[in-house]
Amino acid sequence: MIDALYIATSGLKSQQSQIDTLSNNISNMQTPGFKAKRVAFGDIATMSPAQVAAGLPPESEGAGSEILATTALFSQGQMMQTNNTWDIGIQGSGFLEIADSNGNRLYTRAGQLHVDSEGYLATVDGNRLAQNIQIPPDAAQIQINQSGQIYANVGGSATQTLLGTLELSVFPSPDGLQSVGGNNFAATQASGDPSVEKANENGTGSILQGSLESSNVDMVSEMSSLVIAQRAYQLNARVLQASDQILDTINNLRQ
Amino acid sequence: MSNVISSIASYLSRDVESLDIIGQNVANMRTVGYRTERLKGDFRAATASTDRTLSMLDGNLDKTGASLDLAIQGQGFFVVDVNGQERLTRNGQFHLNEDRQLVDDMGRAVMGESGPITLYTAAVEIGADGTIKDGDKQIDTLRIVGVANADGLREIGDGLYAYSGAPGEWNGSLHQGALERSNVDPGTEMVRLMEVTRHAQSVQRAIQAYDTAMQSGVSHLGDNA
Repeated sequence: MIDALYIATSGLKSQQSQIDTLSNNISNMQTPGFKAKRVAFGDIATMSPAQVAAGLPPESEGAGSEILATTALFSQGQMMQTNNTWDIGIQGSGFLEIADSNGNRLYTRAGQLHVDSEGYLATVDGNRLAQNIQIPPDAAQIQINQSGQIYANVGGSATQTLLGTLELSVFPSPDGLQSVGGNNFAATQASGDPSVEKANENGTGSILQGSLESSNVDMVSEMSSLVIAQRAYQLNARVLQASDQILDTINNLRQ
Repeated sequence: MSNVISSIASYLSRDVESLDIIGQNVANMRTVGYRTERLKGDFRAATASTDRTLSMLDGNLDKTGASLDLAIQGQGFFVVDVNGQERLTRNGQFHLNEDRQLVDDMGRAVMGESGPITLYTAAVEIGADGTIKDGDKQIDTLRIVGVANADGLREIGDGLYAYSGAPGEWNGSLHQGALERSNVDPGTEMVRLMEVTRHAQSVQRAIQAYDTAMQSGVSHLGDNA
């Protein structure tokens, strides 16, 4: 049978998942702290390493393309000013550590925090910061400095009290983090274990109060990738069509 | 007499093989660093050769801005370590693993002149000649193998190539923050696709013509009527 049929199908599948990834990026363009994802393709060769070692030629022309990995790009997004007390933007490579309802540790760059019903700092999806920072209800004039120290005037006092210090987690290899939805990431073997450090130290990054990090999705590059992916999809479809035509020719060798 | 049909038919198998190669190229149109494959020789060759050769033209550079995205221009290849064996690749989508070693998409170590490369700072600067500066300290140079003879390259999948020829000179340059797209030219592939489809149809016609001639030869020759 004609391999080109299956090869073209693998090309269609690869381009399909490229389009899926692009549309996910585009739809999250306005999600604070979102990191654009990127698909890495590789070619498939029908050859075993033993054959390669023996210097044998491949059995056929190759078997199409496949997806090697889909990774998030952890470049810095732009800071957008919101002037909300509990919006924080991280300028640097650090992540906020949060604990989900099952007690799992997750990591996020989305700094839209709020104080939950029990006074703890939590992210938009209701997960508390793993540090369990509690803010008294009568705290006023809340100030967060670049090092993540939260100061407030408590109980009508005119002097500022330190309520807690936001810490940031840095990973040896952020590329290895697994996206778990809700703008959160989970640590994996590939990412390594995080080290929890004070903000503004050891490359963790500084904290900007009243700002949010916008997504790092670049509209222009997403759109041009989308156009190319669509054309690549069409071209693969044409190969599929041509394979069918040649099969038809072969079937009609003797009329 | 039947060897006329079978030799014509062998051209048909060659068309199918060309089609497979076109399919492989088109499927990998967006594979970073992929090299276009070509069947050696042409349709006029008396015996169909199944040898393939790789196009060594540079692909387009696509600026990504990621500091560990690297693109080579010229006849050079990066070297990655696959279970102790050195394999070549043009795919420069590198990143760091949990030990802060420079690895490719599949987690295979990228080789420098003195082995795997470990980067400790976020400020990595890679020069056009492959020198790696980690912070302000130069730590190593990326190993880039020049490929003198493209026929010695074999595609082994996952963007890797095995090279059996002599190592050659690499006089190109390296770009940081960019990726090299595949050097597949959609226009050329499309033209080849049309060529192959039509060629297969011509072969079909030739076989039919021969078949008709044989039919009259076998059933009418010697008719005394």
